[in-house]
Amino acid sequence: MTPPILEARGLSKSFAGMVALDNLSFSVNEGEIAGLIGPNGSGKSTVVNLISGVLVPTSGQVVMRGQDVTGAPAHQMARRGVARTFQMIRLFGTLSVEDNIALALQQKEGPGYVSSFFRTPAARRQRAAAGVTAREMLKLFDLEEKASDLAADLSIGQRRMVELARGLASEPTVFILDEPAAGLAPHNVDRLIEMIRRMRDEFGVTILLVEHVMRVVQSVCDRVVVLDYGQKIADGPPAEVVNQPEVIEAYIGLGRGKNA
Amino acid sequence: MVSDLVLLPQFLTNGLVIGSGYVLVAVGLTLIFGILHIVNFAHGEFYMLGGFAAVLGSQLLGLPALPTLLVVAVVMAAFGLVVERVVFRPLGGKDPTNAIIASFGLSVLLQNLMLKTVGAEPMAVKSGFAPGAIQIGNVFITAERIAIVAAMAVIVAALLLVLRYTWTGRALRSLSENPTVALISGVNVRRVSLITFVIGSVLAGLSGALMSTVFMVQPNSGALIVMKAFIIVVVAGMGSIEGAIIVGLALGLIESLVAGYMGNELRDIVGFLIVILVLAVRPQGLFGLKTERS
Amino acid sequence: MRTPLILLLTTAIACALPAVLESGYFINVAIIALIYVILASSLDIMMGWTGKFSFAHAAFFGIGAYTAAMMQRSFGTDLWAHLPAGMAAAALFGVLLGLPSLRLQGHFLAIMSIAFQTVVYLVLAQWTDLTGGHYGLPVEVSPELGNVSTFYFVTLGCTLVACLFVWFLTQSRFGDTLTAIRDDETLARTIGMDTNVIKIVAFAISSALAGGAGVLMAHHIRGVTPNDYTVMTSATIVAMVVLGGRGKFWGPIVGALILTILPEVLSDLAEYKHIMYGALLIFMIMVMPQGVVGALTGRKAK
Repeated sequence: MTPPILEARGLSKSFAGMVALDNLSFSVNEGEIAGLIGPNGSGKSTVVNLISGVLVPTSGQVVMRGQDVTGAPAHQMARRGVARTFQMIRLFGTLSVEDNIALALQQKEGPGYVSSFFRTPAARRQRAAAGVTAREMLKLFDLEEKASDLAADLSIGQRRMVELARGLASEPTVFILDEPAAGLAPHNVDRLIEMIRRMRDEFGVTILLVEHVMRVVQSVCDRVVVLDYGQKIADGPPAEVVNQPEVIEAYIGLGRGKNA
Repeated sequence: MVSDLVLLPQFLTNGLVIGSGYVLVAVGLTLIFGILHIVNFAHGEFYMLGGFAAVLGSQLLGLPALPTLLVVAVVMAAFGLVVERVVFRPLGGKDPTNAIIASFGLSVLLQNLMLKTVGAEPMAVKSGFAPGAIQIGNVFITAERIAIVAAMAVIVAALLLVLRYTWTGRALRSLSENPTVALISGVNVRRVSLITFVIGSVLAGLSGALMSTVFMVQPNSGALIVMKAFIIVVVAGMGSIEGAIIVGLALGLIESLVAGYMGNELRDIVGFLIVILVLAVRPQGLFGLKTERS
Repeated sequence: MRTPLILLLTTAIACALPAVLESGYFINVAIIALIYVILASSLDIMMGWTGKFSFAHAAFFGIGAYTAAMMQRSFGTDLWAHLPAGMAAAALFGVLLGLPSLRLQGHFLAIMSIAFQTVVYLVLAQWTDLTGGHYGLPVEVSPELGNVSTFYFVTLGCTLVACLFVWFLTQSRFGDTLTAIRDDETLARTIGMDTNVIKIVAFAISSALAGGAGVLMAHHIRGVTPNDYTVMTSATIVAMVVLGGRGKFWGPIVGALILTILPEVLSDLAEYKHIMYGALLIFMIMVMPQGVVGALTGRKAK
């Protein structure tokens, strides 16, 4: 069997003495939609930031395809194929929607700043190709008519779709979605579920879905890892996991699980 | 080396006096910058205006020391009020860089306005104290210098009491910890911001008035002092009043020792080297808490 | 590609100025205006495009100028040697200021830059053996550049090259990357941009152009004194960028031209120019923060 695409091995992180994550291990296999769930404050966002290189773990390892990438900065993780979205949507507000995506997918082709400055034919071709790919992506997400709008001018639902298009366009090895349903209206959540499935089924993208809206997790995930107080309390298919007493306790026991 | 050590108490005394002036300016700035997050590059001009307000009181109106300080406090409170209402409040909440540029403009405006109206000649503030230095051991010190240290101690003590025991003080501290929570729990953020800005402005003005009895005042008096105040606030850690007191006194002492033992021309550079070092190594300041967040 | 053509056309028209302006005085004003065009355009790489504040631009301006004066004193070199050396020296100091600033956000960088500006001023004013102290150093201009019209053409050429460089830079992928850093630095890193390297390079380029402007200035006024490179000079350059419009190619150019020519035209007001700059900064920020050019062109995607 091939090694998992992404592995967390004994990851721990503390902030000023507060333990946010305690010895967490889990893995994500190629072509899988893995869920990472848990109540607010259970350490989900910390996991995302550790894997995407925003934070450095206090101890433990992040391993991609058997290679230790612990502590690599965010831009290097991106070049290794980790794409992500943000709980609070992040786009370049003063750039057009198309440029937002084109910029992301230009990063893998190496610097090219000098040839871009001199407007060499190769640089122009590359830029034009990025634009074409960006528009194809937007078409997939039904946003092609918004391509030249400023990213700041779109609605929340549209902005979320642009984030997905940006990540997908960069042909990620693993695509981390950080609470993508946050702030979305119900019909947009349906659309989100559909697009997450299509990204995997049609493009073969491996997805790590961090979420606390159970409806999303249960309908798309092959497997879920459950966190509580920085520790893993369950790991398995969604239907089984939700019936485990620890999970019920974590979500319902303290009345914290209004979304469960 | 013997003669060098003989001068040490004198250098330390000089440093204490200058440090006291820094403390007042820096404590005012840490309220405005550290708590309200307003980058006010014109804070040094508040110091300078305080000096000129004292010239007005002591020279033109012929007032004695305490009433002169009262005049300075009233003038600077009114000035701070106007500046907060007219410049900083309308800019608040939007792009914070706009306030940086606006305060930079205010600094340039005030400096050159004073240059045109009163000229570049340094002016002295009359303290009304008997001239001549008092000798204590090996140390010579004038009455004005003693008064600066004493006034600083009294003013800072009063401020700490206000912050601890009044409603405004408590509101201010809650504002510094978490503006959103403060807002939710009924603190009138606008009013507290205004009062804080006014207090900061009065402190800068009082410092300018006190220091001008010894060092005189001219339109560009505030230019270097504001930078040192920023240095103190940043090195101490944003919003840390106790830190500003310690670092302010320390900077005065260090500068005085550097000037005494290494040469006067190096005095002003030391502080800037310290801040560049501290910012590079410990961006949150010596007394600030590290806030790494996920 | 319309903008570079307009720029070339404007330069062609500007070539006729010495013939029209009979008085050497006005040509001198024009030279100063061009030098400030370089300064404002280069500052805008940081301020407008990258969204990082620097109030130390006059320090880099001064480092370029003093490099010229000190090289001439020691080696007897001329303008053509000073230009690359002054730019390199300024770039080096730009990197020196940039490195510790990498971790700093917004207002800390502004404070750091003013601290740097102050240190440079104090060194220029007080290290008398090296810099001539408050009296500064003289700079001699080689005979073939001695004519004011000739020097005007040299300055015009340098300005054209600098402006074209800024245009190509900001319209390239590098410019897109700077905009990305300005909009959201965390996101820029997350999509794979090495923002630290980009910021340092941007800082070095911006400083180098200011250094080049300093070399021109030193030759134009035939000497250097520390008081030409104070925080007030930085304030003036910031005012030009803000007046014209941040992050717009024509913004800083228009701002620089207005603020150098206006005080000369209203010569009665010249002594109040710093008061005007101060008031203007406050006024523009409160009423028209996007600047004159920004207000005219409006907000639109590139």
